[in-house]
Amino acid sequence: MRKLAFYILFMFSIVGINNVTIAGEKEASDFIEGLGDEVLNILNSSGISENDKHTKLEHMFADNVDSDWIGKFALGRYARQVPEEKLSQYLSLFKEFLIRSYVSNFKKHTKETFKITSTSKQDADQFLVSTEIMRTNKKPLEVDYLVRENHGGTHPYIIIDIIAEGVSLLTTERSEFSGILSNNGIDSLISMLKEKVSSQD
Amino acid sequence: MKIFYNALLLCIILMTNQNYAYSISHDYVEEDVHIHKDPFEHFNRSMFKINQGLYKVALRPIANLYSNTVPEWGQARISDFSSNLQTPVYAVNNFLQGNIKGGFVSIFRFLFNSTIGVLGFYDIAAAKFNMPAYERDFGTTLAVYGAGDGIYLFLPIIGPTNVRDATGLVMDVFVDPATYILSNGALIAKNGLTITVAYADNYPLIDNVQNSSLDPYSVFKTLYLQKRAKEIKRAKQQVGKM
Repeated sequence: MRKLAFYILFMFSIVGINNVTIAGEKEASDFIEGLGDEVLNILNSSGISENDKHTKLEHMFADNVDSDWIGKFALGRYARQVPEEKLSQYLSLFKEFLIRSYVSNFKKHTKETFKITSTSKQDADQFLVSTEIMRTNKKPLEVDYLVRENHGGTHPYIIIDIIAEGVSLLTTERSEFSGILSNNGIDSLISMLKEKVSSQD
Repeated sequence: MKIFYNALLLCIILMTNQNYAYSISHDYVEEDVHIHKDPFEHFNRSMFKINQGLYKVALRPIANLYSNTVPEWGQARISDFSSNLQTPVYAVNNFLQGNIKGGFVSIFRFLFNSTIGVLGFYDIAAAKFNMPAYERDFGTTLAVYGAGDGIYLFLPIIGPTNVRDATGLVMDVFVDPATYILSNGALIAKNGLTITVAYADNYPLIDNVQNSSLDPYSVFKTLYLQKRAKEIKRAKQQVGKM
């Protein structure tokens, strides 16, 4: 009898854990959907100038994408070797670099809508939210967002990777920087980032 | 009673068995991302420079002219027409890969689009009959049979590729019925159209990478490798599908 009670209690606790997982998936999905709706609202708004739209999108990107974490990931094993001061300088430049590279792309998608196709738990605090951007006269674009619970942050989740048609932001930046780092070191990378950010002003 | 408890335990284990396909470690270790070796990097970068020149003087202006003069609706029709011409190749490769469903769907797509779809200018098969395209090339076929990427290459006009996929490109010429039906002039026009449509679709992305990257060569390489890996994964998942 005690064994049966144990198994039933255990089963209910597992069901409870699964319900928490499903709730987490829904929240992650709602987070991405909310962001997507906000981006489209900004892009399609007739009451603000193009410059203001761009500024709003940049702030949204900065608030909702963990550029520090992505920047460190892009360094790979060098992240542990770089002195704190240079790391800080690099992360600041990397954030600007990322925002300027990606935000300009959002503006091309004004006539499009998107839908969430699935959400799945990937780790203890990570969820993969899959979306499709519906385009006129073209195949839908598959874009996935890897989000992590943002404990103590402004928003409940934060984006740590964007995967468009199988191409991951994390993998791309790590690949791009690995050659520069192994051939020329962190100073060269910082110098190149500075030059690129200045040229995009 | 023992069997009941064991069955219950098995159910619990199955319910909680999570198979996480994609998660990132919180440690920044190099092993998380595979950096593809590039033994011909010097040659590839030279070819990349040549291609950048070709892109600037010819490929981009042609793609830009096409995009700006042909309305979006017209570009969609031409894209459908170009894709329809490739469908026999897709059919052959689907069958070779054991994707029987993909093979037959490709045949029906070609028949429907070439007739009801006005010589392929309308993708009626997808729009009205819910038959999506199963785009497969011989490089994917080689991958399904176990061929690895091989050495990474960058070739003018073709762009990023590797030994397996470049071989596949050549083999696709031999499996394409158009090779045996069309005249040389028509074949050149067909391939020219394919290249124009491909660059017209992608030149905004190409421009973005060229302008925003620190090392465009590396970025194009990784974009190609990641996209290709996804295509091959999808093809392998559909092997044996009826």
